[in-house]
Amino acid sequence: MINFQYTRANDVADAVRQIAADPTAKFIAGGTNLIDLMKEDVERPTRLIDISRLPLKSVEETAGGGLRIGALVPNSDLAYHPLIERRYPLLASAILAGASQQLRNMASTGGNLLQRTRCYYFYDTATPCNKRYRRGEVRRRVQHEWPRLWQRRHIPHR
Amino acid sequence: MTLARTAASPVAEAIPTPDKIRIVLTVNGVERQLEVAPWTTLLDALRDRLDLTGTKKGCDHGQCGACTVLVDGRRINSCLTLAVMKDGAEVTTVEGLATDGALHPLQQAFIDHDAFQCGYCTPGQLCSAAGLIAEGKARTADEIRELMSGNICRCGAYPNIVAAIKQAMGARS
Repeated sequence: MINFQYTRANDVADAVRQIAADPTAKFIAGGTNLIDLMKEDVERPTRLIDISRLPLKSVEETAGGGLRIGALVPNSDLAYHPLIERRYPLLASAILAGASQQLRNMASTGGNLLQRTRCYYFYDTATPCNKRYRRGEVRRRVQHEWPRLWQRRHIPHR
Repeated sequence: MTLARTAASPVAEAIPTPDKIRIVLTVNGVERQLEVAPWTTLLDALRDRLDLTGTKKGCDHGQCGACTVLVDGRRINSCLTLAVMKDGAEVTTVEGLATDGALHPLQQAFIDHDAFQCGYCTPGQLCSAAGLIAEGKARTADEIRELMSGNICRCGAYPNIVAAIKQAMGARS
C-alpha cells in the first residue's frame, strides 16, 4: 500500500468538490474492497476522502411504489430491512449469500455496486490486465516487452 | 480530528508524507488517544500501538475473520478498517469480553466444548459470536454455521464452536 492523504467530507457537496479537485483521489466508505485492493497495490489512490459519516443511510419509500436506498446503507442493514425482507426477499437473500456478516456490516450499498472484479489476473499486478492498465497497454507489452524478455534469457552474460 | 505535523520520513513514492492524525478510540471501555498514519488499520493500531495483541492478524484481507472486533457493537474485520475512520468509536476486543475477572459466557462455553485447538482464530471467533448473538438472527445450528462463515478455523473445530455458541445463546435467553 502506498502512502496517501486522508480527509473527511463534511457533506455531499464537499465530497463532490474534493473528488473533483483531485484526479487521484478516491472515496472510501466501507473500505472492504478498496483497502483490500490497496494492500495488493492494484488501487493506488494518493488521497482517500472519507464519506462514511455522510447522512446517506436511510431506506425510503418513493411515490412510485419503489424504494430509495441510501448509498451508505450497510449491506447487513439492507438485507435485514423490513421493507426489503417483505417486498424484495430476493435482494435480501442475494446480499446474505455474499461475503460474511463482518464484511456485510462494513460494506455499503454504493460500494457494493462499485466493487471491482475478483479475477486473479486483476488482483495479480505481475500479470497484464486491461482493467488495470490503460487501454492497449497489455497488447503493447505482449507485443514489444515480453519478446525482449524472452530474447534476453537466451543471451548469456548480457 | 486534529492534524499534528510530524517529522517527514523517507518514502519511495513521490507523495508528500501525510500528517499523522490524532484520534480517540474507546477500547474496552477505556478512552485511548493516539496519533496514526492514514494507512494504519484498526487491527495494527490495536496490536502495535495499544498492545492489545489478542486480536489476531490472519490473512489481512478480510477473508479469515481472525481480526474480528466489535465496533459500536457490530462485528467487523479490523484489518480492512482504517483506524482514522473509526475516530470516536467504541471498540471491543477479546480482551474486553470478560467482566470483573469473570469469563464471558462465550469464553466459558468455548472451554466447556473444547472449541479450539491452536487457538489462533479463537479471539475472532469469540468476538464474531458475540456480534452474532447481539444481532439475534441465528437460532438453529445451521444459521449459526452460516452467520459464522466469516471465521475460518484451520484446525477444524467447527462442530465444537457451533455447540459452544449454542450453549452461550441458551445461557443468555
